[in-house]
Amino acid sequence: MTSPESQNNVQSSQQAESAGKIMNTEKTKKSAASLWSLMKEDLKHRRWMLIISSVVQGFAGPIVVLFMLSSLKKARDYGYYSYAYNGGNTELDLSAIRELVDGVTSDYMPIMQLIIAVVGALIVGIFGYRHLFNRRMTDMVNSLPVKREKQFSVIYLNGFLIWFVPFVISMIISMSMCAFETLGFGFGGLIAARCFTIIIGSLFCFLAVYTMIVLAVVLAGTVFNAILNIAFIGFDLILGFAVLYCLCDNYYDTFVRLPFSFETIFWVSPPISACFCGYIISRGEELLAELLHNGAYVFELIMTIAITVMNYFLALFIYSKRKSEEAESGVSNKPYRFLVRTLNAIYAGLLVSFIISEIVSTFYSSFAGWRIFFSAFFTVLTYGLIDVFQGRSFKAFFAHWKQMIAVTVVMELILVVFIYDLTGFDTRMISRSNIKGAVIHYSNSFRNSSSSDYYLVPGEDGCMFGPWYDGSFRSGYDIEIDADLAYDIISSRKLYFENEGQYLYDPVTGETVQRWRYSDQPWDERPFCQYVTIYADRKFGFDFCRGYRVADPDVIDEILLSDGYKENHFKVETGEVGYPMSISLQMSDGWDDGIEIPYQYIPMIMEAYYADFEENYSVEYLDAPMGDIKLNLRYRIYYSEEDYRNDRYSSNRFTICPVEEDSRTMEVLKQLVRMGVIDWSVWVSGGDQNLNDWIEYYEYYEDDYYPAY
Amino acid sequence: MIEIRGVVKNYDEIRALNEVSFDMPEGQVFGLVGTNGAGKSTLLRCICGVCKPDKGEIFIDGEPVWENPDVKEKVFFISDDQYFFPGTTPNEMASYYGTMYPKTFSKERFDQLMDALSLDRKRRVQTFSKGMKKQLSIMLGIASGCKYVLCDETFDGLDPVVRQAVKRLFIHDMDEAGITPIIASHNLRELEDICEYVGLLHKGGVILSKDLGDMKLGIFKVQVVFRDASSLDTVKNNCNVIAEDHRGSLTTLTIRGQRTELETIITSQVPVFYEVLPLTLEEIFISETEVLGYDFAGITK
Repeated sequence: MTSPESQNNVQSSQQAESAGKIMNTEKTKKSAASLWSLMKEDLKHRRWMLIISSVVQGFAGPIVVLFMLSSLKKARDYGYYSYAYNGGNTELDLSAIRELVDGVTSDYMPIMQLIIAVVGALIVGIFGYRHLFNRRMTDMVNSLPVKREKQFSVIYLNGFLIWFVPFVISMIISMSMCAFETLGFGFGGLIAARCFTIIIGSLFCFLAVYTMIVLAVVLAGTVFNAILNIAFIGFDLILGFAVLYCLCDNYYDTFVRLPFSFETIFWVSPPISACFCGYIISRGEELLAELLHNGAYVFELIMTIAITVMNYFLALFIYSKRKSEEAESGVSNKPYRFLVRTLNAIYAGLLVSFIISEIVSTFYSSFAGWRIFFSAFFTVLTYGLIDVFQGRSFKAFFAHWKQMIAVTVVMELILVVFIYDLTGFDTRMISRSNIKGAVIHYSNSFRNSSSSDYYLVPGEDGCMFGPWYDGSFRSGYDIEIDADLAYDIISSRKLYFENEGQYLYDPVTGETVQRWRYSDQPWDERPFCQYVTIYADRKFGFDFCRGYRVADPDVIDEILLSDGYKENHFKVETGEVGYPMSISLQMSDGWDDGIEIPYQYIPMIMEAYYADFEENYSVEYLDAPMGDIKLNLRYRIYYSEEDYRNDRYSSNRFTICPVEEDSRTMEVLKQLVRMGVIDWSVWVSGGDQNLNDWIEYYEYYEDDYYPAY
Repeated sequence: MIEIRGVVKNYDEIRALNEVSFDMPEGQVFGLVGTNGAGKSTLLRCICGVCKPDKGEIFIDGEPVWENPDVKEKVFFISDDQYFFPGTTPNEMASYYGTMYPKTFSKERFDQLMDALSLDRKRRVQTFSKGMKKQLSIMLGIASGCKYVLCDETFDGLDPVVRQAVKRLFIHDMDEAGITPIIASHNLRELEDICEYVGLLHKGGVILSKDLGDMKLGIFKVQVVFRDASSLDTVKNNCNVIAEDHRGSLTTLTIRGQRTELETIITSQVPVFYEVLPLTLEEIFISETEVLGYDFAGITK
């Protein structure tokens, strides 16, 4: 007995056979699948991305701007009210609108659109090429009569459009709303210009990040590995630079800095450089001008573009050559797979060594063995784990054990080169011909302070409350000296440099002498050690900065006292006029957030404060001759000459905390309040009153008008 | 015609195809049979341009297939587990393939085939049973109008009636439109019904590739009873015996050679009884692979 279903099947099969007789009559010669038709087909299966993109852009654009505009309306209402009440004040209205325009076009939109661009690039990049993670889908796609280059381009273009079209529409609507609301105030041009720069900046950011993600994806066989690849391609080179810096800083005593800054090498990391450049472009105006006038930024911009173009063609090449069987497997491309394992395993080993040396001082050589051991351990661990991720099996941990051993050995060699300075970086003197220039940087290095509080007084050659200390340089400044002179200083005198502040080494004689800080060694008795930094112009074109610490201040004295040297290098600059660089006003002994006094009023206050000081405090009270007294205004602690030199806390910023007896100072401050220089409404942390209360308090005494406080 | 020349394909350490060379003539149903892991699917994936051989080349109608859209337009690959987009319907899949095969795909034919099989064209494919998905992929392949339709384990999961219908469709289209179905399968009885030409794969290599009729003419099963053992030895020494089995006095020999020569040798030993029987495709397959050591007789010991 046959079931109705099978009867139906029999009938179906007969019909199917008859249908077979209807031969393809539509074999008209059409052209091969066009790019546009392929894009339409691809887009059909990625509708959800387009919907998400549109919803996000709709919310982040017009809807948020609508909220912001409603706040503008309130501000304008307030402005009109003021206008009527005060008899005319259009300034308020204009400033509120300007604030909103800036808020939307300069603060909110650039950042929000960059965030959307990065997240959008991640989503369309990973899911656009998702067939690479599915063997069945790969089989289907690759069996189709479409060249792989074309497939790649279709997916790439669609991914871009999925982000770009809703973005541009959202931007146009948002900016139109903004322009409409501010109609008649002359902001139309500004809004249009910023709309343009935001589009360009976000476009730049999106393309750079998107292309890098596509490259990461085509090198992966699973989503997990794609994400690992993104981390690797996006950040591994930056990590490499960081590791190099840490190693040099940690193991080389004379190391000062790399021949390049991290800022200038951001371009190796598309997510960082793209966001950085994209933000600057989006913000437009001043920032864009800065970008175009700063050589390092221009370099970064150009390199980011170059890297993006390179990533695109690399991704296209790998996609077209990619083996179908790599779907659902770990990472494709054997050399790349090896590169990922090797680099990260080496980084891991070196970083672990660095961390250990940070925990226990590098000085203890007994820990070198442990560093070597743990570095090797973590190299093996990292190598094996990446292999596990790539091979998608725990058994893959030792799948490449020979390579694992080789990589561990290489890592150990690198580490040993740094630990024992096998390149002789520290002990090798820079030849005279290689010295490009030198600067002397003053610091209380042996007392672990980075600056000092010596200030010039108009008409006097000395510091504020005492004579000039001849053996010191002005704090916070690097003073250039001749290369020859620098070489003479380093090579002919006893020079020492510091290792973690704990021992000294003589690079000339090669002797290592352990000198403990705060011991009775001669150089430790002198609190003002000089620090000489030598810039060496290396033969291969990089400026590699080396620093030597000069333990004998007589060397520096010799330079200082030479004819004309002081006049040339200690000029009083405009706005400083021998006073502190800044003054912070505080009400009590609290540390934080004093009120900054604009620099043009500093002399006035300092003169008054100095006079109050002289009047209110007697020499007897301080038990020392007045000429030797130093005042640390921050603490209001008084030191003798000897103590003052040993003061560890010093700064080129004065914090003043006047009291009732300091009448001159108070008068100056009151003037400043009346002039609107000091904002009376600002609360001063660390105190229990605001400045307004304070001024009133003194006015009470002064005018004898107000009731008792 | 599909020409396979010295194709080698490795998956990391595993060699899936080892110097495979043979031709697949057009206008005939070609059966690709082989042991498990012999490389049948790999070979099909190479033919349709999914995989690139590590060595050797594949030509379709004289042109290399790899990254050649003009040639790939002649090939439709129905994998053993065809992929359908999530949430898609048969109509949408037809539209997709219509875009990919704009010169040959016939939506009209697709609709008629789907209606004939009572498959709902607007229903989501993910709600289809395994067999219905298989039917859909075959219908897409046929509607694509491609000259070569590569089927990997296509008949698995189809009920006997649909299987029969598909066979008829293939034969019909072969006659009418000149398509060449290439079917990889383990089910040799299914292939025997439909295939005219067979390629036999084992451990990545080709054991033989012949017209099925010729193949059957060159190998025979002989059931014979001799009076003494020396007669059997004489036959074995003079014939290319590739397998033998004894049940009491009855000896079954699988012998390669011409039937007349074979009968001359056997009759010269004056057997008590003998009968020459043709081999089925399955028996040929077992015999040929046994020769190469593909034998699990010891599994019951």
